Amino acid sequence: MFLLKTRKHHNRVRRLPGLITENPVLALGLALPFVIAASYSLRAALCVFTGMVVATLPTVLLASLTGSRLPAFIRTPVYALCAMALLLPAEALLTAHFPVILDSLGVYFPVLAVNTLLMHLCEKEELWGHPLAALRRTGLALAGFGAVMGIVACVRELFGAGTLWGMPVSWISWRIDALLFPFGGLIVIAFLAAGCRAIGRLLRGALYQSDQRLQRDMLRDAAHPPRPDGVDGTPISK
Amino acid sequence: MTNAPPYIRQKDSCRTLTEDVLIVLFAVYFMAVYYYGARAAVLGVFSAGVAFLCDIVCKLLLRQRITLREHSSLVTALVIPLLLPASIPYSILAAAVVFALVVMKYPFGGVGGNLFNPAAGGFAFAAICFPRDVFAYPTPLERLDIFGSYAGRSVTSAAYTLKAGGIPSVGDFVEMLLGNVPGPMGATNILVVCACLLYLVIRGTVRWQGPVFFLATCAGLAWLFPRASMPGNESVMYELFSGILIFGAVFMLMEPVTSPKRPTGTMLYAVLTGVMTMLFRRFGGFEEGFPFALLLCNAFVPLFDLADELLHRKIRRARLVSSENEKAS
Repeated sequence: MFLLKTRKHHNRVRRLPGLITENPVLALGLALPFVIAASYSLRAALCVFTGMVVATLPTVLLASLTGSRLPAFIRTPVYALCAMALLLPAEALLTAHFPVILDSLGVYFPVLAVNTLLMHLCEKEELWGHPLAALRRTGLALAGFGAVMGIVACVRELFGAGTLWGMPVSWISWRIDALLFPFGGLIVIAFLAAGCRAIGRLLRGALYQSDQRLQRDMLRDAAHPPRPDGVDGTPISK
Repeated sequence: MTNAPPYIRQKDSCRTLTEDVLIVLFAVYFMAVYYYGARAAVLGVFSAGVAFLCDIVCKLLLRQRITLREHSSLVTALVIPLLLPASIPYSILAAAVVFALVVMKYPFGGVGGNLFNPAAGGFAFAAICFPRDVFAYPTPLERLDIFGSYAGRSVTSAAYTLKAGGIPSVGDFVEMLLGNVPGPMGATNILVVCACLLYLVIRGTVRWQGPVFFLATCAGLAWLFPRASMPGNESVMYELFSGILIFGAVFMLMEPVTSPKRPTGTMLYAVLTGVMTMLFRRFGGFEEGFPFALLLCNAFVPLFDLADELLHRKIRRARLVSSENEKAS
């Protein structure tokens, strides 16, 4: 099949795994409880995202350096311990700035030490022994996680509480309290995932149609090549 | 043969089932108009209009065929106002209907694909977002303005008094049966709703096991564990006749898409819903627990169907083996 533009798009998108394709939250469903529990406000989302970055990035780096050398039964506890050790100073730092938010997050902040995104990335065998690739892959996955978290938190805080970063938004005169409940977060994520899939499908469809048109033009040109000068009475160009 | 298969012909169809429900819903609306005036009917028409618009938009987005022969959304739209007070603002009703169809029904594929009861979802959404409007009721036989907001004095229902641990003072038993008590505009008319149940059971639209086992479970739990200091039989009466318990058992519990397919599964499902409803009523945050319990139990329906199918397969196999043994002997 003639899929020039489609393949080009596919190759371009494939270079950013985690951010566009294989989004950890929307496509793989990883770290979903954190997005639902913490995305009721932008501040809470920032706290959880910071904790996620602090716990995940160095731990995945450690996993990429030691992964194949550690026996399987000890790997997960080591990763969890490492993430816990990193989360302790992060929690102290964030508590100084957002004491109420950290208090309201409760167990969701410490539990970041054993989140599914972290374990998924640590156990990726193709990243073992390649620390730079591991850092890049983790960075992209965290960016994807952060993007989803930010969008969901914005929507929920704006339409659920009528505020943004704690400041009231004047043009919101009504509120949907249900958005602040966990099921509201699930519904927003579900619609976001469906929307992303629909946009991706539309884009792929448009590219495929474009490829088909291009192929038709090329076949037509091949079947009816432009006539050389002078044939059938056409004037000879000088 | 001119048509494509399947060639099975059956009297009942999706359309006949929904038409049966629509017929009895008109009776309930008639009583609502009697108690609250023309506003009750206008709320129903408005809700149906919103549902029609949602239907068209969602079907266009999903590239489904738009047809007027399918009434399931109309049933949902007519059930939701009956769960709410007659004084409910039109905007809240519209939000509930939009949520029921756009979030609870069409994302799952539309007709026949929804996992959760759309009407229960719409009511739950309205109850969570606007509890002050949803649980404040006008007095029956009070003429409400057709348009505009309600300016009269709202009262609480018997379900609220029970939730607060008190004994309702709603008059005698007959008044409760006739629906002359404050409450949701369609759910208080117990006699009419029971007549609707009878009609639907005789027509085969609703399987009798669902409402009977559900109400029996609720009654049993109310008798065993009264929420206020009163005799067991009084507790049963108040629990069953307050809120939307009987209305929900008739119009929501046995929705064909979200209820089990066989009688045995239906019994288990009804008992589970009954237990969950009473737990929600006792420990939940709202005076009405049925829609939340129903949504929770809807999630277990595929499991009930699977377990039921496995059980029946075993029974069929056992019968087959025994009949073969008899032939051999």
